[in-house]
Amino acid sequence: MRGLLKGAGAASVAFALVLTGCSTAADGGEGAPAELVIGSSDPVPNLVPGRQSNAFGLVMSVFSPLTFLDAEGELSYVAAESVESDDQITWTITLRDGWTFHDGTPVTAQDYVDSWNTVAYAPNAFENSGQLAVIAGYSDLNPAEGEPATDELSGLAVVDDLTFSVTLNQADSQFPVELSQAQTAFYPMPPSAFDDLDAYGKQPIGNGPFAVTTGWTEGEPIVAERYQDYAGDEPTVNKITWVPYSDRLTAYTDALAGNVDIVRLPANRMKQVADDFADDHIYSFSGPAISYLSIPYWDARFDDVRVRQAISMAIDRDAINEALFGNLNSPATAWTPSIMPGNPDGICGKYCEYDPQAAAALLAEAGGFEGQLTIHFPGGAGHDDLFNAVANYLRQNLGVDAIARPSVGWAEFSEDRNNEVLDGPFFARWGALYPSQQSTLRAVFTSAPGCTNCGGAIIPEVEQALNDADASGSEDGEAYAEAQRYIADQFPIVPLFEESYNFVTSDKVAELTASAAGEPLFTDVILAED
Amino acid sequence: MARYISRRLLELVIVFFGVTFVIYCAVFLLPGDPIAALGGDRPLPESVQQQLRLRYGLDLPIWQQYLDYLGGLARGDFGTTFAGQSVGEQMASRWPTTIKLALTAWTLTVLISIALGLAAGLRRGSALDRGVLLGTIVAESVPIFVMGVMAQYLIGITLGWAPIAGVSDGWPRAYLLPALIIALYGLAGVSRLMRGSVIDTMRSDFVRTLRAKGMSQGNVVGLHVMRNAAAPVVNVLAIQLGSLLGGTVVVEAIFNINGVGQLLYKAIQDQEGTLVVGVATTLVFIFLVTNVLVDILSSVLDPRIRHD
Amino acid sequence: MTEPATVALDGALDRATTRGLWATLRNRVQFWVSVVLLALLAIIAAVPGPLAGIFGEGDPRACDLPASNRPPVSGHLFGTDVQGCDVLANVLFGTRTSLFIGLATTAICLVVAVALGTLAGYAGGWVDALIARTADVVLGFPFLLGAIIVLNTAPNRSPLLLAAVLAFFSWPTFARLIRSSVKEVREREFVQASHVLGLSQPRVVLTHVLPNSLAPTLAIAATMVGGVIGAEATLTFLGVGLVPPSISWGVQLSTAQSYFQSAPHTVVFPSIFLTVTVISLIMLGDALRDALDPRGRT
Repeated sequence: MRGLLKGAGAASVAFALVLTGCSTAADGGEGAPAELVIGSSDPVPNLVPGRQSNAFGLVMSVFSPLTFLDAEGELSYVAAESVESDDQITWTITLRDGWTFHDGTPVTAQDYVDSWNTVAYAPNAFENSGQLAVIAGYSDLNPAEGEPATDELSGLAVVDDLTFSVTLNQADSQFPVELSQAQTAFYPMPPSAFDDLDAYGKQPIGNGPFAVTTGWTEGEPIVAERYQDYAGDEPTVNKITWVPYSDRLTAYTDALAGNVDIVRLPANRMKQVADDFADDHIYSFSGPAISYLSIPYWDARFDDVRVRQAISMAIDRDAINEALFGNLNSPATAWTPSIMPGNPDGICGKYCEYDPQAAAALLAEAGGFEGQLTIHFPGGAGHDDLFNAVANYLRQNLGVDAIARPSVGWAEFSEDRNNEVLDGPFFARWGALYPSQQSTLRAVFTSAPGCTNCGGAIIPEVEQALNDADASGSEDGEAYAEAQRYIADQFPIVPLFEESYNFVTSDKVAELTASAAGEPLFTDVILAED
Repeated sequence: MARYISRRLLELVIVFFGVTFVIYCAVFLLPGDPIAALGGDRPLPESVQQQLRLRYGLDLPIWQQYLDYLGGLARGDFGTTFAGQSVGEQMASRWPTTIKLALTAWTLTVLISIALGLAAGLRRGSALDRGVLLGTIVAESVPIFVMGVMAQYLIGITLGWAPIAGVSDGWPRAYLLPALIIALYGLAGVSRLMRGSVIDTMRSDFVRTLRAKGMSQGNVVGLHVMRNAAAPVVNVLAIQLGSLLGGTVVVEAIFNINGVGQLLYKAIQDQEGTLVVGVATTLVFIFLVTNVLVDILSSVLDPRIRHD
Repeated sequence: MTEPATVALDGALDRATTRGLWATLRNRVQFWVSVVLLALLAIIAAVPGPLAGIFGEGDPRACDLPASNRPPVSGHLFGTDVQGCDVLANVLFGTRTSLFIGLATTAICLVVAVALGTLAGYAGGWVDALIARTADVVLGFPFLLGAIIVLNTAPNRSPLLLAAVLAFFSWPTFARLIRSSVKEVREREFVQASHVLGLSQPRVVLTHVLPNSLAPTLAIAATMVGGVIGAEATLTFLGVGLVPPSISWGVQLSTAQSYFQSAPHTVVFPSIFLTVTVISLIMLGDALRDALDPRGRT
């Protein structure tokens, strides 16, 4: 029996090789076995796609999304054959035929519906459940008080094995984009997952190019190997190992020693990386993320728009980018990063340009600033140098008593922010999961769930402009740029930097490609020849 | 003796409950909301946060939470973190690493400080004596993280003699450098104690008699001085072992060693209450038990110390 | 009636110890070296601004970000740090904070330890047991956790607060030391004699027991000041110590250590000052202890 199974396995491997014409290192003949070692420095409590929040690279290798956005913002279909709608409210998703999960079961429309219901059901308390909030019935599964009466999203309906329909709460032209790779709550789970979701979270079974062969154990590497029956595009590597590190700096140090192939560049090494690694081993991808210096709208000292503009003009973004980020980020010129389609670059105008004299004059015109100006930011996350630099600029250029104060961690910072008790400007950042201005603007500047209190007082015109843009269905982002005009007028918060997602690689990696989410595609890494 | 031991054990139980309750209250009274922070800068939906608060009993009064926790503890259940990981599992995977690191560091402290103390004590006033004094003081004065980072770059990267991150190379290769850094901080005290002890013993009447009788220096040191001088040193070293375990936080952070120090530090930052209490409690427990053992041991070894 | 007798006894003893101590210290190089170094540091701590001004930049908070992490040049004798501030000015200003934390911590710690240690040693019985177990709890309580809780519930992390926290976690060791030396002194003849002469208990403690127990404690206290200065730096490294705009060697080092490779001068200069200060204090304590303990004299 055992011999028989073994034979069958070998045959299927051989079959897959013939089928794909793959003759890389898998046959063991050419030295390097096409393996990658990736340093992951974030804790991995759970790999259920509806729960993970810091294992994007891994989950994106083990699962395949319905739609895919490449670095140029071009949308293509992966697991879905089509995503269509006439009214932008009811969408029909048709799956490609012949796809299987790593346990061999076929991927069906029912699997998607079951998975999404599980993610959205409040008592499961799945971290990524908010990504499904656009679907009709989400609020029934997430009542403000008590247990929900139903465990099924009313907006989902299975049409046949490969087709299902999704009804949204309101028209949303961005829905196909929202289904793209980084919104992992939309990934499907096989029927076996629902028996024991905790076990599944340690060793997920996906529909992607890689199958997890060594699941998660505290402090141990996770290993995934090529899934031979994968129906999508062939990956370029055969085996990926994620080695856990306590922080990015340690991972980076180990990459210097040559022990790991791909690691994320820690913020405090941006300046130094050019000395440590060869140019072609450093990758800097524009990310859909932007950082702000948020203004506490509950503090009357900041009521005058000129005070906020003066603060913005007193900060030399170029000097900070040069001194602290090694020019890897870019100074922001709008309230969303320029990677977003149709982004109104430069809408911030002269107020995002460094002009200390004008800043001081503007502040004086507004009546000056009373008392201490304390900048708050979450401690332990590597933001210290940035906000100390900002405080120095405000102190030296505006003559205010500015200091930067870190909190213990996120717990303290987010509570103080949510409860409006921060007594000065504070750190805010939004890393969008899909590159559309809609994602960032909604999260930061409206009452929709997102970065609470980050966008200053809510401007009604912005919310209205966003709703109009959602319904208009234009794909160039022009309509969303309209909303930023109101933001530029009111100047509620100060945009700081568009972020890049940076990585360093070993000699083994010849080319790293990014997806639109700024995250590299581990499945498409081109390995060096030797 | 039996009365003394049982009294110390009773006190240990009282201190144990006192400390755990204080830690428990302290963690839950910290400013900040761990549930709201779970999603980092991408917060969880309100309904999810509410479910988690219910699940972890955060709506109950603190004494009830503490009793529930103790109840779980009695069943051998350390609870789970807010992200759903088992605290017991996390500790089980991390304690061996930290214990290995602490024991390695402790062994290095013992070996190096006894050697240095002996050498300095026997050649009191010599250049060697002064050198040992100065060297150990310098080692103790530079903050541990400065020493750690410098050793990492010089020995780990420039010379390539030791791994600089993680313990994947196994014991002893991966543990030696971090253990040495920890050990440096115990050297000054213990070697000084050893030195004083050696000087005292060398001057004592019985050693003088032995030497007058013509016993060689080597034999005197090996047979008598070492044994006599070691008693107080052993006492201090035993106490040090207890505090070593908690003192590895910085070195674990620098060398990316997934031990309990790291676990505790991160747990405090994220306000993972059950995790903090679990780790801190075990740390306190080990410390207290070592203390009691040392007291009992020293009263057995040295009859002059009486406790009743 | 009894006064003259005790005073005479007391005075004779004190004079003897003091004279012996001074005679021993006077001849020790170690003592003079540390005293001179500490005197220099005290001057720096008193007037850091003008001193830094002599070498170029007198203001530690005058920063020019484009001149970030520049190596030493004239005008910036120790170079600049990541924010483009003068390292020399920061090191000199840091001297004040660091010395303050070291001295304040030790002072607070001594007051608590002397009070509790004397009480425990003199009273004995259940008072002794209670204090000993409290000390156990404090020693057993994870220092980091305690420090974080206190330092973060307070609105501002001032150097004084940091000193109080450090002192809270270091008194037990001292209290134990004082307790045992009080116990020992209590049994000595002259104390017994004072009792026989009918002096009140508190009076005996204050006039005889304490002064005689304090000497060895003071020697260790000097050593402790050094240790505390290093501890402040480590707490800051872990993110729970001082934060800018406080200026201390700890703050400098914890910021600089991530740029150690590209700008070693930002780590080296504060480290040198920190190390020299700690060494001087430890050497002073060492000399004092040697002088107090006749057997240890070389």
